[in-house]
Amino acid sequence: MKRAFRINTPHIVYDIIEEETILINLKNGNYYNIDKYGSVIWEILAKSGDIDLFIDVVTQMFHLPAERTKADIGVLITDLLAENLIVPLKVEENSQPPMNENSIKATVSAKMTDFQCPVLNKYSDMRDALMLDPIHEVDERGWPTMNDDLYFRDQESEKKNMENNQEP
Amino acid sequence: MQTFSTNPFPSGEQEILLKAALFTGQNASDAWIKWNELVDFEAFFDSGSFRLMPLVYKNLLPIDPELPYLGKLKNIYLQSWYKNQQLFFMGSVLISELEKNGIRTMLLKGAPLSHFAYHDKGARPMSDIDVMVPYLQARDAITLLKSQGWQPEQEEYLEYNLKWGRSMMFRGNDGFEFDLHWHPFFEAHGTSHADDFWNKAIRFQLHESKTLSLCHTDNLLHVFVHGLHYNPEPPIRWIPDSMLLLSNCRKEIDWDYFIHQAQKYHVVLQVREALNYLFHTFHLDLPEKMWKELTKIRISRNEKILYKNAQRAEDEKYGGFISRLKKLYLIYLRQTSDRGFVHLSLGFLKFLKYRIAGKNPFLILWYYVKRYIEMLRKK
Repeated sequence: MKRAFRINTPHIVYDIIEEETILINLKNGNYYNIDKYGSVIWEILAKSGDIDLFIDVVTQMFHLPAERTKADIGVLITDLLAENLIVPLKVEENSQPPMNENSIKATVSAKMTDFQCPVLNKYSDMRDALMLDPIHEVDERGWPTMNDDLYFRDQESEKKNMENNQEP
Repeated sequence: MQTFSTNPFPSGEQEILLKAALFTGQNASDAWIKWNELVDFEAFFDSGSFRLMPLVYKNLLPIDPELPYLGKLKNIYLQSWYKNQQLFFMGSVLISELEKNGIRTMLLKGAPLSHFAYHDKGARPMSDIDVMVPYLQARDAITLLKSQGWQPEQEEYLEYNLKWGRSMMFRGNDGFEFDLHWHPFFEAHGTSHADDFWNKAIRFQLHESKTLSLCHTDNLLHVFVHGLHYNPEPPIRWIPDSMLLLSNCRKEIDWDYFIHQAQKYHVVLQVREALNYLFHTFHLDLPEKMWKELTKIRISRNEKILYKNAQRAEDEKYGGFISRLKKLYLIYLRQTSDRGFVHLSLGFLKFLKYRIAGKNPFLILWYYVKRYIEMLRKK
């Protein structure tokens, strides 16, 4: 049986920047990014593609053990479901024609040269991230990850503050 | 060393940055490299330039992803994308609330420009949402918003703002800010103009909420009038706003209507200066007939004074008491439909009454006494 999902709109908004998918859950403000491997999966999900068909295509195209591909993609799907970023697609909801094997193959060959375990990152402390100076206070992993120096400096100053405010 | 300017026309460095944001191919990447030679990206630079960075990123990325600082530009872009998405969402909730209560809404500035001109949700950083309601529904909208916990800024000016202003800022408990407008700009005023912008408005959707936007021609006019007005942040953003609106919605611009509106609201000078600048610096292709017509229009002395006045900072705007009174009279003239000496004189007195309502008249008097003493000291 076909296993397909849909993006949990309208509360989930997303965009693709430099092969990376960025997402917001507008209900709680959580921010996510998905790496380039996961972004292809996201694209398939957004087009109501059959995820098992996608697993078959990736397994064959990159000569991978089926179990590994299935497990890697399975973890991402579970995480996306747990975060309410996607929901299972009901038959009556499927307004667009589902992606067939050829269109899934075309998407994979256009977007992937290999396959690695996809990564979903979640950021829930967005109040601080919005205050960050994106030029000087963000590390090489990119916004919203705070520069380590700054992180440790903040921790250090917090510790000092606590020490200074302790009663003798 | 970068020079800062609150002038609506960019400084040399800002102009180079605008070219990196708007030009194509090698011209854009050359401009970016040149800007980096003149300005230290890692040091402090003006907020007007900072607000252009997401657009610079989107423009340069497909040209050459190896250009300097593109990674940092991406960080600025991502932060802007996140903030804007939050604002769009909160704006959609607000619109749906107003519409549900029978109040018509229209979005101004950032949200429609991001959609129609930039075709991108993060390229134009926003700090708030601008919602316009019909002039005759403004009071109802304010009452509704207050009943739902929204706090108006400087409420003591409510009556003055309703009669002579164009908008009021509101703040929610969660810190979300938005501007409630009843006129798109100061130059459009009075009930006679209330329906003007609504009749030509176009449909616009923000998330699930259906609303309106100014038609592209009125939007272009709005960008010019708003952009060529004094702003504490270097207001150079009117340049990409208008250039992108013109490049992406060119077919929908009705130049005859544009000239008609510019004349009607006495903003021909702003429009002429803006188009002239875009033509000379950004090679904007202008219809010859339109330009000829626009340059033929006679500008009154009052309009010239008001235009100059609108570009100056609040503190330096007025000299002594007499010159302030004179300029207030000009503002009154622009915003009134009163005619005839008696009506105008009485109307101006009423205008002054509204203007000083909520302020302590002794403090106003003290302010001028101090200014006069300072002036004498300098002499």
